[in-house]
Parts: sequence; structure tokens; C-alpha cells
Amino acid sequence: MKLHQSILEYRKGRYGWWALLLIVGAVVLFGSHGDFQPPNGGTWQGYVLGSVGLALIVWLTALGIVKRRYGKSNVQAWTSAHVYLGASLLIVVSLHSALQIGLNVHSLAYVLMCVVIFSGFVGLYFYRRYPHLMARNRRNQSQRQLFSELNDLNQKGRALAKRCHPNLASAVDTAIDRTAIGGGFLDQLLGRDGSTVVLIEEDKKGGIQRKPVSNRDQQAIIDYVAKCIPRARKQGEAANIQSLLEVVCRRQTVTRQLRQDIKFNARLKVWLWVHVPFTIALLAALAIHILSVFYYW
Amino acid sequence: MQLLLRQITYDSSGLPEYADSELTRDNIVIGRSQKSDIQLLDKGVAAEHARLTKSGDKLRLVAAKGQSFIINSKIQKQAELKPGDEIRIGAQTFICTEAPTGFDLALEWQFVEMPEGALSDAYRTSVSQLGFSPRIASWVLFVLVLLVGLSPLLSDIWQADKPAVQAANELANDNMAFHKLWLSGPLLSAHELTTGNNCTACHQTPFVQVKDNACQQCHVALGDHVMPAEHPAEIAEWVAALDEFACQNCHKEHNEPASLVARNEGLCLDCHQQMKPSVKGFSQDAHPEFALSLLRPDVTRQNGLLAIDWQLEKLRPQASDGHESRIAAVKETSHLKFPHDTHLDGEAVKHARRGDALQCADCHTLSSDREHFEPISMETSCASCHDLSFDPRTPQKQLPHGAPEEVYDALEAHFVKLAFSPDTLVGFERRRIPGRTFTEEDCDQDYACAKQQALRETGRQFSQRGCVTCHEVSEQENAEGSERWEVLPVKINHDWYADARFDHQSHLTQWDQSGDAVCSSCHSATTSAESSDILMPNIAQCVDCHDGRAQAGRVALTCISCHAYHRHSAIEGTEGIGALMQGAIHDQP
Repeated sequence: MKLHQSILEYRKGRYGWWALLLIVGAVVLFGSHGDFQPPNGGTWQGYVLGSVGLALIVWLTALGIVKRRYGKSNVQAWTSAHVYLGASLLIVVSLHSALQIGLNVHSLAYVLMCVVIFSGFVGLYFYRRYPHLMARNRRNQSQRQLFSELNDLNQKGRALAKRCHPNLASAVDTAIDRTAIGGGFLDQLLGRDGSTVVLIEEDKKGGIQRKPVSNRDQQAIIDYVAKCIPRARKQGEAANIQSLLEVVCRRQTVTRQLRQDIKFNARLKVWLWVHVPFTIALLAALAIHILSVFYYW
Repeated sequence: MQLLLRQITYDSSGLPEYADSELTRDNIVIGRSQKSDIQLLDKGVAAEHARLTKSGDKLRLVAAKGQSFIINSKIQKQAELKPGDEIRIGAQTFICTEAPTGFDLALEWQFVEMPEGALSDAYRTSVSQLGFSPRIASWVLFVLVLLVGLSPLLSDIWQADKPAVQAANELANDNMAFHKLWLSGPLLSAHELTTGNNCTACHQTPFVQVKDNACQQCHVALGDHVMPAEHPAEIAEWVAALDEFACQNCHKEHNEPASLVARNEGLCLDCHQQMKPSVKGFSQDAHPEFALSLLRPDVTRQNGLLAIDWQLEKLRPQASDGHESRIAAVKETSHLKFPHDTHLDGEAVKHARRGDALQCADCHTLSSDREHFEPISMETSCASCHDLSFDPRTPQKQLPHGAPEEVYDALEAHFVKLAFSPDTLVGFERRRIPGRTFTEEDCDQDYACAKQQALRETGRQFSQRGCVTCHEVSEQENAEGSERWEVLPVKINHDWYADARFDHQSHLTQWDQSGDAVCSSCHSATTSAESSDILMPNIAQCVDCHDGRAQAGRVALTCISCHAYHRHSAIEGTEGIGALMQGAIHDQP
């Protein structure tokens, strides 16, 4: 038995065939609309399609409860069916509505449902893609271990920097202080790097320039440290700076890994921020859709 | 402001190491974020925890909202700094010292190494740390959707509290903006206009389908389709099935694209295929032969007077071979003698003015309902050729038409006048028409002779020429004088297929023929010698072009293409309009 099996391939895609069967049934039912009335949610076919859609939505929502009952149910089977039947809902409900869209509560429910389903597609894509990428990116380390290594590198870097020229020491200190990992919503989601560093450089007149510059991907500090190697005058200073360069380069790799890891984690969570709240909104809209249709029957 | 920051750390042997840095800022931010001027990687420190500001000579440390720091062992939100103050933020301690020249403030930072894990705590590494709660978002959306979705009901409740003086119409329109949110499809514009956008005009009780009485508030003059009185036992069950929601069986509102009238034949056939004759659709086999509405005179004599009671008789003839357009076996009784073949024969009859053969349209004028024809009268259709003169000497004198009882009086007046004032006939001999003889004797001043002449002429008119040419005349052997003859009143059938509609206008346009040929393609008038012939086409004619189902080479007809469901009891004088309107509605695609 395979250690990892995608939810799509669960039992050779059994629920995919179920969903296909459901879609075919819905299309046949829709086709049975005679010339009595144009296709519509209010024909008997429309009522049947709507009831199937309602039952599916309630059942699909139940995954949120089922997955929290660890060990009590086969979550993999549930999720596989959730994905396939959820996708088929798009067809069933579109046929129920006969694509009559307007500015009303009925279309609101439809639109909310579409948002939920398409956010689900996005989530499915992320879950198919990112777990592999994340494992590869972390190279068998956890995020905690990566941070621990970064902490060591930071201390090592600061200690090495202290033995160098004060300008270099200050630059390394600020580079470590101003390293950005994670951050706000877009920073995490896009893996943006807002790191900066304050570089101290002597201008032509011998004055001192303190320039905070972008240190994206730790490149600015690496360049700065590398430039200092040929300028080393004291004995052993060059070797010291060489060690420092190794540390800042290693920091580059570790911060990259962390940023990627945070990005993947963020993406795996963020689609649910749309999927779940819109599901709840959909349940409200659905209740109102049914109420309004039968209130003014 | 100029700040000198001295970071004090201790090396492995316990000796202090100093690292000085200068900060020149208006506001110096202390916090966990890497954007802070002094970054404290500590879980207990906010991203932006406090800021140092200078106003005049005073230096102040102000905590951010919800944060605090400890200054000289006291928890403070803000404080004015002076040399010797000890500030604790999280695990770090700062001591204010006397500022050297050129600096506003000097701080000694007793640096405490971060505990394991503090580094990752310093960063926001998960979206869960961003303060967004999917749970709260769910509730917000849930409540928002409920508020928007229930706004029609909520607005009703709110409006109900408003003073009653406000007009109902105004209320309805005010609420409509909300109520439109519940609209599942557009309303027929006439319904929108008359209901004033008020949902409850039709949807009278919540959760109950619209009942017929809601429709009948406006549609008062609608005839019922089934008349229980007419077929009590046979259809009682079906009538019961047409319950109080009967209108909805065929008429659906709020349906896009708007289709207020259901057109499928299944609705009709549900009942009619079980009835006799059974209807299963529209084709030679599925549809029964058309039922003719015939007028049958019931001629009786009461106290010697002729009494005619016209009975409408429905007759469903069986065509002898199914394709014969003449319905041979059935005869009409109109009491009119009219050979269509003679009149349409150009050799025999010519148009009075044009001089060529008569055409159908010379006598038959389509009426505005596009189905029936204007009534034919002697004056409009016959008189141009058939005058009612009776004495060649006075061709301008005509007998009265339509009043047989006055014929004798008119003749008597004529002959008496001739007898007593023969001047009337001056010049007659000279103007005698060649080839015609007039052998009436001269009753010179003889009243009895003139009366005899009048009676003789009356007899001739009723039995040999004149009236009897076109009319059925009843003769009573034992009656005296002019009362011997009576003309049977004429009634020409106006509506042969009373239960169906037919649009002559649209059928008059045919690709391969025009004029009378079009009429003759259904009505074989050119070969009809008797007015008793029924010239109506039967179903065989229709199924040449039509079928119940849409198929190649056939124009589809559903039940309501020809039949009306509602029996209209039209207001007097508007029958034609009613028929037109029925056509207009049902012909909508």
C-alpha cells in the first residue's frame, strides 16, 4: 500500500464516478423539461435538482464536523467524496437555476456557492502541490529547527562581527536586526522579503554615510561583507571576515527556506479563510432562498 | 533627536563588551518588529511597543495602545525621562545616563540574551497570527447575508409601525426596492402595473400557493372551461381535480423568459384523451373529425302561423374516405337556394360592373376577427344582379325585400294604380323590350280586376319566378289570398366550427396559388350545385400542413393554437375584440 495517496485517487477515484453519475442524471433530468414551461427552479425537475443541491450542500458542510472527530470516521474517504461531489454541485445547481441570474437572494446563494466551490478548487490545487514542495524545501528539518539554526547563525554572526571593523560590525548587526521573515498577510502569502540593512560608508570627503538599504534575500549584506575581505589590514582579519561571509551566506539559505515554508503554510491556510466563512454565508443565503420561494409560493 | 545607545553584553569570561550606536530620529520606536529603531526580540514585546519623543527639552517615553513598561519599578503608560531612570521593557533593561555633548539622551542597554524560541516568536510566521478570525468572519458574513436576505420582511415590519395615513401604494413602492431582492423572475408588466409591485396582491397568505381567487380579483369575466352542469357524472372527478389552484396549472408568473400561458398539449390531453371522442394530439388518427355546428330549423305552425326555431346541432361527420374535402353525407338547411358553381362560372354569371367572372371576395368579406365573414345580405351581395322588379312596364318598381307579407300589398297598390291612372304607362308600348311580351290584360277602371291581377302576380312571384328563385316558399293549399304563401326565413351559418379558431388572414398567403384558388384549396365551391352542400374542410385538409408535434415539413399546432380554454362570455358588442385578443395572446411565441 502506498504511504501517501492523493484524495483524488482514493479507491481509484470512486467518488469521481459517483459525481459523474450525478451530473449525467442532472443533465438528463434538465433535458426532460417539456414545452410546458422554460427550464426553471420552479418546475418539478427544478425542485428535484434544488433538493439534491440542498442535500449536497448540507452534507458537504458536514465535512467540517467529521474531520474534527479524529479516528471516528474515514476522513480520507469523506474528503475525496467532498471534492468530487462538491465539484458536481456546480453543474447540479447551475441546472437548477437554469442560469437565470439577477440581483436577488437566489442569485446571491448561487454566487456564494460558486465562491465556495472555486476557493475549494484553489485549496485542492494547493494541497496537491505544496506538501511535496514543502518537504523538499525544508530538507527534513522542521520550521523550529530552522529557526534554531538561524538563532545560532545570528549569535555567531554578531560575535564574529564584533571582532571586525566597527562599520562592518554595525552593518552585520543591523542586517540581523532588520531581517524580515513572515510578516503581514501579503508578505507571508507571497513570500515577500522586506529586510533592510544600514550600511556605513565613507564618502569622498571622509564623512560618514548611514544608508538604510534593501537587504532582500540578504544579498546586500553578503556583498558588503565580501567587499570587506580585500580591505582587511590586520592579521587574521581576512580569515575572520571569511568566516563571517560563510555565516551570512548560510543565513541567506536558512531565511529563504523559512520564507518559503511560511509562504506554503500561509497558502494552505488562507484558502480556508474564504472557503469556510463563505460556506456559512451560503447556508444563510440558502435558508433565505428557500424561505423566500415558499413564503411567496 | 540624537540618541546614544550603548549595548552592554558580557563575554564568556564575564567581561563587559560595549557596542555604541547613534540614532537620529524624531521618534525612536522600540518594538519587536524589524522596522523598529530598537528591535527587542521578545514575546512580551509588541511589534511597536513604545516610542521616544522629544518636545522642547523634555524627553518622553510613551507606550503604544494597550502596552506598558516598567520605569523605576512602576508600571507606566508614559513617562518623562531623566538621568538615572531604569526602564524595563520585556526582559531588557535600559538605564538613562547623562547625555554627552551633542546628544539629547544616552541609554545603557543591559542586553539579555534571548531564550530559545524567542527568535521565531519575534516573527509572525503563520497567517493565524495576523488577528484574522475565520470564525468571526463567518459570523459577520452570516449576519450580513441574513440582514440583506430578510430585508423585505424586516422592511415590512418597520413600515407597519409607520402612521397609517401613508397611502398603501406609497408603502408598496417604498418596500419594493427590498422586495425585488426576493423576486425570482420578472413579472408581466401589466401585472406589475396593476399590483403596484405589492407581492401580497397575489401572494395573499405566506407559504400558500397563489389561489385562483387572487387572479379572479381582476379577471372577473373569465368563462369556466368545464361546466359541471353539462356533464355531471362523467367529469365530476376531473372537475374536482381542478382545485382552487387551477389557474397555476397553466399560468406561471415570474418565469424567465416570460411565458404566462402554458402551451403544451399534455395539459389538455390529460383529460381529453379519456373523454369521448378521445383526443391524443393533432393528426389524422389522434384527433377526432371536426364537429360541425349546424343550424337546424324546427318548422312548426301555430294557429296557422309559421314558427321557426333554429336549433344549434353539433354533428361529427365521418368522412367517407377520410380525404374527401366535401362532407358529403351532411346537408345544411339555410332555406336559401344558391348554386355556387353557377355563380363562379364566368360564362354563366358576370360581375355587374366589371363584366368578368365573380370572385369569392365579391360576396365574402373577412371580418375583423380574421376568422369569420361579414353576414351576406341581399342588398350588398345579390341586388346588383338580382332586382325585384315584377312588371316590365315599370322596371323601376321593386318589390320590398325581407317583407313577404307586404308583397301582395305592393302589387295591389301597383295594379290598382294602373287601372285607375293608365297615364303611368304612357310610352310603354314604344319602350317595350324586344323579345319580351307582356300579356296582362288592361283592367280599365276595374278595382276587382286589378286585385285579381295583383293576386295572380303574387302567386307567380312565390311559385314561379321572383322570390321562389332564391327562397324556399311554403304554400298552404287551403289558405285564402295572399296568405297562401310564406317565405321560409333564411339563416346562413356563420360559425361552422364554433369550438375552434382559424385565422383566414394568415392562411390566405400561399406560396403556389393566389386569389380564388386559395379559397378553393379548402372550400370546393366551384363544384357545389346546392346551397345545402357543406363546403367546410375537414381535418384531412389541416394535417396536410400541420401536426401536433414539430417535425420537418409540418407546422406544429398545439391544442390552444385552435381551441380556447376559457369560454368567453364577452360583453355585448365586443365579441370580435375578445376573439382577436385570444388570438393575440395565444399566438405569442
